[in-house]
Amino acid sequence: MIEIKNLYKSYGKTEVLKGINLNLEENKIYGLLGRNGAGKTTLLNIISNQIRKTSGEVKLYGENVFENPKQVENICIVKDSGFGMEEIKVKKIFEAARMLYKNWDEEYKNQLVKEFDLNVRKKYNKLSRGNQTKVGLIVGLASRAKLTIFDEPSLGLDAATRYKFYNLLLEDFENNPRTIIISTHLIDEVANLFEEVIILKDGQVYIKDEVANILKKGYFLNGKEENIIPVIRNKNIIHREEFGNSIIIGIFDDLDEKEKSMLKENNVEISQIPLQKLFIYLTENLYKGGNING
Amino acid sequence: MDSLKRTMKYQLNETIKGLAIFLGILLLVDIIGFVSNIRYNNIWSFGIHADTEMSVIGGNIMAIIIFFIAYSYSIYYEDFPIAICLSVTRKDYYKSVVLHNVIVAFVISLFQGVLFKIEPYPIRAAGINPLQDFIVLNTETDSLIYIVLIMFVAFLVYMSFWNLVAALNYKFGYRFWIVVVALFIFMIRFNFLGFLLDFLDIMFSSRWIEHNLNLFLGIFFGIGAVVCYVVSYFITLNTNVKHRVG
Repeated sequence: MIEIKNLYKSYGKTEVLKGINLNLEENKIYGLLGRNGAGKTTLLNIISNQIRKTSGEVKLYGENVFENPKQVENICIVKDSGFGMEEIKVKKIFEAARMLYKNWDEEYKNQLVKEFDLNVRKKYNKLSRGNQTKVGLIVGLASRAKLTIFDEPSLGLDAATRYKFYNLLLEDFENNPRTIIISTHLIDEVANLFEEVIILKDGQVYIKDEVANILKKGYFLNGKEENIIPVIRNKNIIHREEFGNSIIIGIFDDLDEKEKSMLKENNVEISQIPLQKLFIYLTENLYKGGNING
Repeated sequence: MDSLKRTMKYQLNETIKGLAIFLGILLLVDIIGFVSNIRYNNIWSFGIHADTEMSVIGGNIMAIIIFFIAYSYSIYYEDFPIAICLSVTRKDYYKSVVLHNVIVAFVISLFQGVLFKIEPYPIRAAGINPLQDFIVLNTETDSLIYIVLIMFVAFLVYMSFWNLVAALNYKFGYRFWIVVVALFIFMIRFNFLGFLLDFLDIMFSSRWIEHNLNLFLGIFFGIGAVVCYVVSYFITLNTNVKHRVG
């Protein structure tokens, strides 16, 4: 559905995206993760025609996206920065969305307004941060755009509202499948939504894989160093903590059954690294991977 | 094409209410002007004067000029960010802006044109001579179509200029006005105004221009409008939506 080839974006001398290559399939929920400044928002803005790329290709259904109305009309981006115009009543934003999105579902929007208990008569800039986010979420959900992008959809939302959004999103996705990209820092909360995760690091795609595959390779090994090291000598170590005589080592690599047995026999506790921690360790530069001897 | 139609519909929806209110208020003020002239013409008269002649409708032009400035700014500061954030391409948005300008210019020209034709009756009823010669058009001798056409061109040219100013202001912010002031100081310093007046003097001393003034002005300002619209197009293509930080 989406093909991105050798995408570069610079702001003056600062290169934000450095050769992104990505293919995204239709009707999947993707998580886009990355540290601050990794290039997530820039990538999403380029995909959705909000800003120009420096070079490279972004195609949707085989056609270039930039300034192509036939493709841009299939995209809805909900930005954490709002709509660029704040002195406007919420109902006017919804009216504009109704006129501009070809697949807009007005009935669904009305349901969502009730569900989120939003006062549409208020001006956007008079709403709390959380309610401003709700406006964006409603636009994103009711747009029924084939590619819907949520950039930081949880800003200002309390936990109850966040979970309400996740449930509504899943419910709607089941009935009306579309491609969804969610960029978020609350990784553990939304990990269950994602089918695939894309991790950006230093302006490039660091990992793109199914969540299950990524989690399968993330292990915490808790035990004595002399019991752990022989087994993981050539593994990709991403984290290390010391507690007295014990250490906790995080690896991002495969462990076969034999290796697991050896570790368990030596009283090494093996557990899965949660996605959020895995993301932090993978994107930190302290351990660049490779074995501990290299 | 569908996307362009939706964008046009969105822009028209935004403007129609404002335009209707503006023209409604204008009409009301004009009616009050006519009535007060008829009733109180020995005490005061409401309208623009030239010697012994007067026009109430001619006074609308000032309000229309200000309306066009506000309208041009709202196109960039209000409609543009919403449209781009809601998946309209800049090209479609700009095409819609130009079409929209044409519609608004035509509606206001028609409004003014019809009122210009009606005006002599209430003015004469107040015992005043109506002002009908506005240099480029004469509301007595020229047809309604001609009056509407002249005003339509003039309004469109004027809007093209403010469209460009609003686009530049949106893109560059306060820096735009720093450049404008700097240019203005430069022009005064180097007597640019003097050169311009000399140039205009030479130009208007041409017999052909003297005999075909309207045609010449139409071509001259028409080219100016095209230049303004083309420059605005490229500016719009390279403008991103401004978001407030935080």
